[in-house]
Amino acid sequence: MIYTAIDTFYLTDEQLAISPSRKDGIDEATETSLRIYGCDLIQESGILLRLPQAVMATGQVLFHRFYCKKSFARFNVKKVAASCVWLASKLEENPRKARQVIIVFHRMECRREDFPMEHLDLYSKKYVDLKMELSRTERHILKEMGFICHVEHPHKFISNYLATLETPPELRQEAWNLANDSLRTTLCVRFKSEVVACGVVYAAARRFQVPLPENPPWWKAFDGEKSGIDEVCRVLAHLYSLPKAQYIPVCKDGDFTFSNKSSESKSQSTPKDVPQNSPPADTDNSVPKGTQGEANIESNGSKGAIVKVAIDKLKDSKRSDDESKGMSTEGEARDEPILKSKADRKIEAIERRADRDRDRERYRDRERDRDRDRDRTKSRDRDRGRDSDKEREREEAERGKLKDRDHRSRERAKDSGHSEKSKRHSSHDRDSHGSSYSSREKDRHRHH
Amino acid sequence: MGDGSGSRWSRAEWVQQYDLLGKIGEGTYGLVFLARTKSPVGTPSKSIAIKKFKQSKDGDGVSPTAIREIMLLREITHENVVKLVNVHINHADMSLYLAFDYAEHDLYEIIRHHRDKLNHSINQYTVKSLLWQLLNGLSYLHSNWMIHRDLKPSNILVMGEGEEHGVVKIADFGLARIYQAPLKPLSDNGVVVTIWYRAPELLLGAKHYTSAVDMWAMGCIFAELLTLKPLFQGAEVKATSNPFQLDQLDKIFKVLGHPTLEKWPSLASLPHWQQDVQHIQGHKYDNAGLYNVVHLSPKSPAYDLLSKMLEYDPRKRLTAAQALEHEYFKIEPLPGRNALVPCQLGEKIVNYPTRPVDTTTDLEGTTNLPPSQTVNAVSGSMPGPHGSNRSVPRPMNVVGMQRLPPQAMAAYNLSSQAAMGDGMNPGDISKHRGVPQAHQPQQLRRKEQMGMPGYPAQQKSRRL
Repeated sequence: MIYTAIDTFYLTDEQLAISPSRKDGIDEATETSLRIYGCDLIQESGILLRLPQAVMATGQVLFHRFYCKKSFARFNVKKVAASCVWLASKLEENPRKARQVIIVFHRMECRREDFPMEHLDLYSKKYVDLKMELSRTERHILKEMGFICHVEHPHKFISNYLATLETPPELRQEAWNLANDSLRTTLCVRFKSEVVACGVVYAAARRFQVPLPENPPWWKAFDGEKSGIDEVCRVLAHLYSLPKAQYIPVCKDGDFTFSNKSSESKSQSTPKDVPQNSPPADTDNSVPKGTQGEANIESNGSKGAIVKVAIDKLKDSKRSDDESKGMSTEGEARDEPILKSKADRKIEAIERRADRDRDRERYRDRERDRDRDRDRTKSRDRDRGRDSDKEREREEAERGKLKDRDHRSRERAKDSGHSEKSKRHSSHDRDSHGSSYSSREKDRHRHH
Repeated sequence: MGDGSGSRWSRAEWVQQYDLLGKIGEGTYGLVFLARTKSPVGTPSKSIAIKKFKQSKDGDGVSPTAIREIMLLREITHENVVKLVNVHINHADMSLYLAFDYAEHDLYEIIRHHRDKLNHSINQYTVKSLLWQLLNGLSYLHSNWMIHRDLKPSNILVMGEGEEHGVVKIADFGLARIYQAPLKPLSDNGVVVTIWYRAPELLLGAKHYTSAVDMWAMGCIFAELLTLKPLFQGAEVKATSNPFQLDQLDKIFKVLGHPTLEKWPSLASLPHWQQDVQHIQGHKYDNAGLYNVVHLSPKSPAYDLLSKMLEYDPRKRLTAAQALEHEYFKIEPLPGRNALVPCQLGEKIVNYPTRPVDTTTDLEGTTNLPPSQTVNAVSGSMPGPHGSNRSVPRPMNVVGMQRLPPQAMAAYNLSSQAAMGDGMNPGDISKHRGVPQAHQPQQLRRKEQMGMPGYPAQQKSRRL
């Protein structure tokens, strides 16, 4: 019976309390923080890859399910997040290339963990290893899921519930936002989608002071239960009380990075400056969100200072002229924002030029492939990939410039989503043409 | 196979549980092999079809088609649906191997045998039994919100001699989808269903379609079982992704006549009905009549069933569950579990040929030519759309494929996780299992939610 397997993928509080990570000595707060961090990665990477929200939703659910079966100490959170968004893009029929996923995660890592922004060489051993790791982790996820990856999201029920309850229209967006945020928690592996949907509807109604019928109780019509609804609200409130999740290295096999040099600088700076324990906890829960944001900004600033000190030490330890020049440039960039901006622009221009050169080489290779294989479809696929790369770089540059204006950046991302949609449509055209080519070949064979 | 081959295969861990016999087919996804399970002395070994999904050139991990097929097949268990026994993953090249219960025959070969070798129609009992079992399996799929979307004779398997002799199995779920409240319209998947079996609403570019597209294909298969040739043999134009296919529609209209808004009210909303009405109305179809093609009396139950399966309006088209209750299946001869061996003593038993096995091809797809062995020449590709995307097509020699270094392959044995099937009832055809009463409201609610809108355009995630 369909959905039997999905219906059995719900855990009790007791089962979650003895999760594989707990057995490996990871405390509850750390596991919660890592779950949120992994979901943040999936959400942000999905935006950068211009994926529809459904893909990020599915990816986050698979992420939580996986860590109900495996430990954070044995499977790095960054690897699993990357493979989950990659796998979800396949399942939700918006597939992305491994190359695209790796490039996006590499850049997110450099930004989030203050590693020097480097260009990822697609022909380096590092890249090949990353690709193998991505596929290997994907296989692990599929194995743990038993290849059953159906996901049902609470979003599906929200519109119907609100329409039935005849609530004001502003509740819809609020409930939708809450449902998105709930994916960062383990609610999706504790309650059915209908219960989570009832919970976010209830929380939205409370927020807007909208009364809901209680006699008979409204949730009974939607297969919900009051205890579940209360737990959903409690979990969401707890989520909003937490500081922004940071990366915490907990893997037994040593830390994993998408970057190359990061391991050097990190290994040197870690014993001196970065604490291995849980992230700095903001115990003052009553502080309003704005203040918390400021606190985060300060934290980032101090981290930057720490990294600067590390860089200075590295500069002293290595006397290479090139290295020294590079470091001094970055040091200057940190001191003066304008200079930094220019330097960033130069670096990006260099990267873009290098990419263009490599694209040209790849194009020549592709021409050769085309002549040899007479496979037009794949060539077109690669062309499309290249265009997508360029646009992504452009968008990255714009995003860098507009760091302080998140709103506009987000809107631009949405617009890009629309163009991506039309692009995906043309993708269907090319697929059809591919099968047409194959069929034509077979027809020729038949006539012969 | 020589000793060298044996020692080479012994290095792959999961392969050790099989005796590999050879290649039996190939398709767009990869190759299909025949193997037998190694079992203790006294226990009969079982024939297994191993379907290999090769890694894409770009190295993009496990194939989405394979994931989807496994996901769906792991959810369902029915006597008339192919059974997925195991899934094996090769670590070295990321290829995926799906192990199925082997089926010796398929409808395409059975029809071809009658048409080209025997030059005689399929007997009534066999036609009725094949059709009933097909509808039984399809009704199960549809009642679990699954559309197959590629029903055609080559995807309908029939078991060879053994415990399940003559049992029908629906196969090849690469295009299948769950259509209970999909997040995206089904038409986003592009063109589906092989063209001769494609429903008119698909040909006219319907944005929304239902499991009725499978029933149209079933009607085409029913007619093909009766006449031994495809009912609507249109030529497909593949240059564009445009779902409109004038020649296929022309073939349909010649037999069934023009569709009319009176009989098919939603016809007006189909994109290509408006755009291409000149093309469609430009031809006149005199002497249209399904009974002339299938040579059935218009008053016979068989004709009644067939015409209702080939109803233009998808909402009026017969469902699989309704078809199972049709009068045609209640008159003699009654359908049986073994479709190939008639119950009546007077009927002759037809011995269908077994599949040729290419014993020189190994699991990597490389052809070895031992000096003492002659490779049998294989006839060319199948005519028409049957030639593409077959689950078990004719075998071909594959020369020049690169040999991949054999390394340890881990067997992710999923059979223990598969749902337990119903016990065998030798005397009865296994019917669609009733849905437990407790699940009924759940299913009803899901049904009501069909076609609900997807995510709203404004998608905002609250900042933490």
